[in-house]
Amino acid sequence: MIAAQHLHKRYGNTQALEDLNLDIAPGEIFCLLGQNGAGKTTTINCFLGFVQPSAGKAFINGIDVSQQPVESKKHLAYLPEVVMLYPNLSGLENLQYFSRLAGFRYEKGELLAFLQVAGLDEAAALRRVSTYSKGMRQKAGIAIAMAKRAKTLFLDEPTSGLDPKASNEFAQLLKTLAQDGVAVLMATHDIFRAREVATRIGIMREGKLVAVHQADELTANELEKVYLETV
Amino acid sequence: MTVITIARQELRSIVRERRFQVAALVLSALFALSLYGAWDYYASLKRQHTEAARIARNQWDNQEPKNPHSAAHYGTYVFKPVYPLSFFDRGIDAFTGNTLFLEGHRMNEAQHRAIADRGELARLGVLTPAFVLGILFPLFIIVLAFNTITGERENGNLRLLLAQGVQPAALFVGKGLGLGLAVLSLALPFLLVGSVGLLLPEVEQQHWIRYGLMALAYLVYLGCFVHLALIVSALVRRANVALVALLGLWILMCLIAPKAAAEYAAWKYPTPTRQSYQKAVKKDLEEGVDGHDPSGEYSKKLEQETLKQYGVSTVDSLPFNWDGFIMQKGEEHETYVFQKHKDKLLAIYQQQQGVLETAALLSPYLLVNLSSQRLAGTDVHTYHNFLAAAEKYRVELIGELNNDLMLNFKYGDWKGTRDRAFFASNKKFEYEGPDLVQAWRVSRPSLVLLAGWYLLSGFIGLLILQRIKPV
Repeated sequence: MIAAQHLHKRYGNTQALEDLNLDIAPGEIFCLLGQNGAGKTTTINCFLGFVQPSAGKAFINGIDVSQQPVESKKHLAYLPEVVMLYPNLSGLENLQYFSRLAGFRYEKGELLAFLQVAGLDEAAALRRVSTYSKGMRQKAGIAIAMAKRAKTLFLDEPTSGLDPKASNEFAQLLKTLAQDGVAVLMATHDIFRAREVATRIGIMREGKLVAVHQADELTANELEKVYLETV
Repeated sequence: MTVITIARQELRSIVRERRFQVAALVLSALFALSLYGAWDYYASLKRQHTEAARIARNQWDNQEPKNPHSAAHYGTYVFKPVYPLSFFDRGIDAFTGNTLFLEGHRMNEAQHRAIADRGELARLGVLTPAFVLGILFPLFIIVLAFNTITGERENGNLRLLLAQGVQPAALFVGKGLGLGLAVLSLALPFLLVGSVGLLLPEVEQQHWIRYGLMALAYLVYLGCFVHLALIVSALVRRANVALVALLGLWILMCLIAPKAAAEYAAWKYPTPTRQSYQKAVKKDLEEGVDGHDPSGEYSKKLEQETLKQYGVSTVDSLPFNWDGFIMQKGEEHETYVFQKHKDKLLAIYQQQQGVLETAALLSPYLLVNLSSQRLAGTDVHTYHNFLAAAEKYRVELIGELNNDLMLNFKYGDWKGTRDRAFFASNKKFEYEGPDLVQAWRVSRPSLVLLAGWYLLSGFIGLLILQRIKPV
């Protein structure tokens, strides 16, 4: 569902991505670990078509991203690290706007339901985003990603602004989505959350995917040890 | 569909912003102020000119009985008409003389330039409706739009937008439409209220059509600035840099370009100095008949030819008054000389206008400014149209007087006079100004260029946006 074949990305003399091969099946959650600058965000950018790979191909649902950038986006949803949205609009209005851009015209009740599932009640949904905390904006972002009903989901540090409870709820939500057959690629620093939610965990270093582990084969402590030894 | 969604969101977002509300309020206050000033200016100027024209004709009609050629020296005044749309755009009105003294033997220059009575500050521009729309309104657009794309980039929404599957070009069209609607929400009321000048009595229908075209020109012009703001906002990564870049462009296009283009035009096609102009005229005048010098070289030559033609030996045997004949011949020579030099000058002005139109490619402000003046009738063309009509009238009036002297007076009879009944029957100056067809012909080039500017900037914006990357 999400596939990379020999992906390379070079910026001048820096190799941001080197021979990345990846295949994430429906229902699978793949977590990318690695230090800042290891190439996690570049990988996601390649799948989103925001970065043109120097070599290799990225596929979403079998569609070559660089060949059909707009078509490929119909099959993906994306949650950036920092979700700012439009401060002058309410959470509901933001969700409605982004959903319409993706081609979905939901009723108000449906929109509120998405926000509810993402962790924003109706009172919060009707407030302007300028009054939201970082966590609340992140939840609105999650609702936007879910409302796209895409087969693949790309997450860049999605839990960075969430408190432990919200982070836990988010993990449960991800598992539910995966059970429905969504393929998830998530870049994160949160080793424990990754261990808990992921099917597979990849560790990146200097643009290379240096190790891939089945999440259920390791405890969190073992994973941390492996991670520290790898990076 | 996506485009409409983006446009609606953009509009909603702008209208809810404090900076829109404050800027719209300030701009509306300035526009109201400009209307008040325009009303004051237009009403008093119109009254003055109507009154002065009436007095001048009255003086002519009621002058003391005198010889018709003495009346030619007595002369009369005509006044530049005040057009209804000068209410909106005063154009070059302040810099051109508004009073013309018509007399025998010479073509005078228009006198009384309004700018002469004002301080240096007046040259910087007056708060007219045209100034508010042409100079200040773009600032309002810049304030609204400078961070349209940079803002989306800086807060990460651009990534989200593109990930939702939005075509980057749709972003340009949608945002342009949204900004355009926000601009219209203010510009349309301005243009509607600005038409009050046309509600005064005796305004011809053609001025409504001219105003409609002017309004359209201003809207297209503001559209150019929307495009510019979007382009800069897309090219530049940071909002504060975009703001500075746009303000720089505004200074260049709205403040520096008009002066620089005028300076360049005057340097490329220099007009002769007053001294050299008058010297050249004087030299040519001496090479022809002088009606007041019957013993001059050219007068003698004309006398020989005329006597031969009529088969008589002395001028008093001619079937008409020789004094009147030679006076009119002299007048014709003088008219020819003045017209020849005036035409040369006009050709230079024409070349300068051409330079302005070319330079206008660099600045849509020059284009809207030219279009607006030309439609308002406060431009160079309309001014010269008035001067030409006044000169034509002068030639006819003096011709009428000389003809009377030639046919109805005896040779050497300089004591004979005409009374009020005769002077009141003399031809009157009836001038309406250029009609709609002429105004359209003159303003079409700048209007077409302005539309071209709008389309080209839109096309470039589309190309740039289509390549935008959020990282």
